[in-house]
Amino acid sequence: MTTRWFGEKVERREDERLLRGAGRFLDDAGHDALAVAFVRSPHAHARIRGIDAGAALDVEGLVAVYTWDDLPGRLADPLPLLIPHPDLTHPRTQHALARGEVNHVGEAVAMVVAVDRYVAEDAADRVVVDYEPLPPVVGIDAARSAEHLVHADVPGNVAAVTTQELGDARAAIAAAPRVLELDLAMERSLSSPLEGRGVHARWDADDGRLRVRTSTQTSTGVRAAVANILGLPDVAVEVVTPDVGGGFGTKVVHPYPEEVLVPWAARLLGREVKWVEDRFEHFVSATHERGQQHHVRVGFDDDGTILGLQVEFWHDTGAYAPYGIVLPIITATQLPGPYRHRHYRVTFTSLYTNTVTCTPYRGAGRPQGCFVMERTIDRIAEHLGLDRAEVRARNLIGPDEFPYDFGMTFQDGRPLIYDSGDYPALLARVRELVGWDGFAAEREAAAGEGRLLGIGLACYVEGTGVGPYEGGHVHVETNGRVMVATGLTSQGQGHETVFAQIVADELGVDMADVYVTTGDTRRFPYAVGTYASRAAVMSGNAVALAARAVRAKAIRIAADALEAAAEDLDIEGGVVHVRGTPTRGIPLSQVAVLSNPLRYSFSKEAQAATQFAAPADPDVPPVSDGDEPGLEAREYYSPVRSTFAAGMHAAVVAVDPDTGAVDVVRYAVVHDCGPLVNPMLVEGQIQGGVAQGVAGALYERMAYDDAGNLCNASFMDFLMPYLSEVPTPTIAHLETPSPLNPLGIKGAGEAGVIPGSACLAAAIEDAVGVRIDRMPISPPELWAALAVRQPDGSGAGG
Amino acid sequence: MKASFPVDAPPEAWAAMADPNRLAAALPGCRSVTRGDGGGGGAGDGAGAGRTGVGTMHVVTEVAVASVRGLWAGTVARIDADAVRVQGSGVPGTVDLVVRADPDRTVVTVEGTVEGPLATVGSSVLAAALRRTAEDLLAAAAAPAEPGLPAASAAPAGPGLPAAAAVPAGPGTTGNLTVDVADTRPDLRRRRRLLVLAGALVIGGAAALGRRLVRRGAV
Repeated sequence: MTTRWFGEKVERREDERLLRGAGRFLDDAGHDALAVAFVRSPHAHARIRGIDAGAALDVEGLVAVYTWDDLPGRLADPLPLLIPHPDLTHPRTQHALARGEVNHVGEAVAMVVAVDRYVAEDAADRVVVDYEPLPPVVGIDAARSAEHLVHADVPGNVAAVTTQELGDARAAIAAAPRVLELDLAMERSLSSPLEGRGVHARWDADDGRLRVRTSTQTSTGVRAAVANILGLPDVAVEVVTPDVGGGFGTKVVHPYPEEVLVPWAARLLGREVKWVEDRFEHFVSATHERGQQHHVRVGFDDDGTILGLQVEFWHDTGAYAPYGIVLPIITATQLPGPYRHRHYRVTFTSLYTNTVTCTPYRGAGRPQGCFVMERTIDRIAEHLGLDRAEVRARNLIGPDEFPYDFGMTFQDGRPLIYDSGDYPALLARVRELVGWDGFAAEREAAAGEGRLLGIGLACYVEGTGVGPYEGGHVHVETNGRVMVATGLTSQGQGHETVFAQIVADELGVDMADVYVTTGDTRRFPYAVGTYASRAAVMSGNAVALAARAVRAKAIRIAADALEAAAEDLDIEGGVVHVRGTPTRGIPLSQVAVLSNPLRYSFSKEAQAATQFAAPADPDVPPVSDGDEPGLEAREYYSPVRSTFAAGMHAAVVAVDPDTGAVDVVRYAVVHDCGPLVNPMLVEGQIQGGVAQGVAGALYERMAYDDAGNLCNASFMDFLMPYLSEVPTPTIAHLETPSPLNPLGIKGAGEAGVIPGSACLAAAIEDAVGVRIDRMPISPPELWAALAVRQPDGSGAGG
Repeated sequence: MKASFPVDAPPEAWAAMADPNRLAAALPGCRSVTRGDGGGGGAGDGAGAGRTGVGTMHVVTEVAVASVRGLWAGTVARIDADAVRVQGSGVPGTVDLVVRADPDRTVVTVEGTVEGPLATVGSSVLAAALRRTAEDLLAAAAAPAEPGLPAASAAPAGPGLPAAAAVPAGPGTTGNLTVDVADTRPDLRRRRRLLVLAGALVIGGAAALGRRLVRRGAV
């Protein structure tokens, strides 16, 4: 091939549209739609004694107020349990509108529909809900104590308890020459995409079809849920994902209450209805994540080799558990990181609290697992007086040990087996990038200037590209356009670009002729969704397979037309030609014409496919057995298990001892997600991930008070860092292919965020000599820790 | 749907419901009220739904609940001492409700089916509208008749009001009584803007209940 797009830093095709303000986001649709505002609970836990909409009647332009009492059929049932698990003994999901009880501040109680959002808000303000407050359960400590219950029928607030074990960790630790115990915690945060959620629905009474636009990470998931809950045929429900301004996990939840209520109301009222989440709503009704407490026991020998690791942790699932126990399973199974473990035992308890429900937020349980593992290794190194990088090196899985089987079950229900990687090479590279080996001198020089410098390092392995499958459809039109569709959605990552790169290469066409549609059930009805760093792996391979099938068909048809042997043909620049004889060829557009026998021509080119155009074998039907008209193919990619990317981050920080402020001086990333489809996009993903990692380590947290009020539910109070606070990382890549998929690629979407807290905690601890065992850490917290620091700088505990 | 709410009205307010003149005057948006029972006794008790019989009144009114607005025409038929059945249809929808008051006339319960646009406003809105209508109606009925309001006329119902095309009859006469309310009264226009009504739903019930009170000699 003359041009290869795969691996090139191709500019994002989406950006021309997005940067001109010509994107079509959810709120760009339905200009004249009726608007929805929700009455949401101001209480963390309360019984609803009554709802009085009387005062709302005075608001001119009110259309309707709906409460749970109004919901018909399955819409009145609890929303689906998305991911059941045998250990999830007490699954609880919310109702679309609260049924008699609210379990977190922000839970939707009533839905107000009006001629516009202003009116809807005014009317919602006048709906009076009579609450009987109940004692709230806020935070993991309160949930564990179980003094009060979130759900009266869930003893101990326990949704699930699960244990997985490799070997015999307890015996191994008992026999180990050295043992340490640690308590480590991470707080809640939230995805906070710049575009919140939103739903627009239109019932087409003429066609009997419901069209739903929603800012989701899974249009097919929403379609299945809406069709099922509203009792409509699947084909009568079309779900279209428009441009999405970020999701980071929270938009994979489906259906959110709004995603079934808005379509239901649109059909009931026979009007377009739209709801667009405001920022406060995002804080109190879009899902959160990350809150976990961990207790670690680790046994190791004198050179720092881990002999046994036992972890017990408590996961805050919030008010409900629609996502089951996937998050703590990910923590449990990704916690081992790139290290060789012979004996590992992990037990977790998933607990209900009267706070917003938790589901994956970019990283999804991995930042916590990474924090636990990496802090443990740092503690081992400190205990032994060894270099932290050296202790890591002694425990890394070797490049010759793949596939590396942990004997555990991963979050997709498949075996936890690392497929490929080169962890020692990653470590060597990140040491080099960050200047690990020369840091002592640097620190000393800074100390002379009164600056407290510290360095930290954190490693992770990330299971990516989880199944079950994705599909791709590639269609070469008679005008030469290559139309590509995959059901998986984009949340802004650049799918239109990378899938076009892949198809252009596989098919032998110019990328400019490839048009990609994602997340539209009308174009591709079978899909799973965008989550778990899976889009490039899953849909990338699916569209590659579909393009290969189209290529094979094109060559077969062209061989016939050119009277050449198929094996002598190649496709370049959109022309099928005989190898070595570029002039003897036929454009794919003409192959597309020939692929579809015609009675009626529609263009000069199309005349070639009509019935009198050319002599044909009288005994062969125009469409042969087993063949289909059209130059198109649909293929699916379904992996046996996930593919495991890996990386290491290292940071140098400067701590101001007078204020506790942390300045990230350097940040280095070495990353291995296999062959890079588009290095620029991968680096963008990493930079964005690092930004969220730094945010999660130093700034962002959910400030719940004891009553369950979220006290920082706005961008005035929630410290999302500016560009000025986010370091620009130095990035290096390794490209270890995966043996599991045709393109050999691994996911990259979440990697950048995973080691942020672990890496920065290590660097801060190194700078100030105070144990950092919970994240995030704010300047006042760090300052307070410095104020009580022991003279020897070792902090408390041991 | 089912809604239950307290009401606080003097007996004379209930009684006024039996007087088509006062009812029509008290009911915002009312176009006509026609008594269809011939002024007789209780022989029509238990009359079949939808049939005009003893204890039945025809009501034509403008109904406005939230954004659902339009003319509604129906009947109100007494089904026992404390309850009436309200049936009818119009642009706002089709209604078949039983309106029941407790013996002390302090609580009203409305139960039945509402279809069409009215059914889309949400049960909490419908309940609030019913309650407000009942309160407004009883309050207006309790007040002395406002001067300046046209008295009940014997004129036939205006065009476009098919269900009210009742037999012309004057007050005090036996036979059907039709009260037409001109649509031009400024106070009604004002109230229509301000009020969101459930129109005939409760009114009819209240009217029949009021008459029942009268019959029992409560006033």
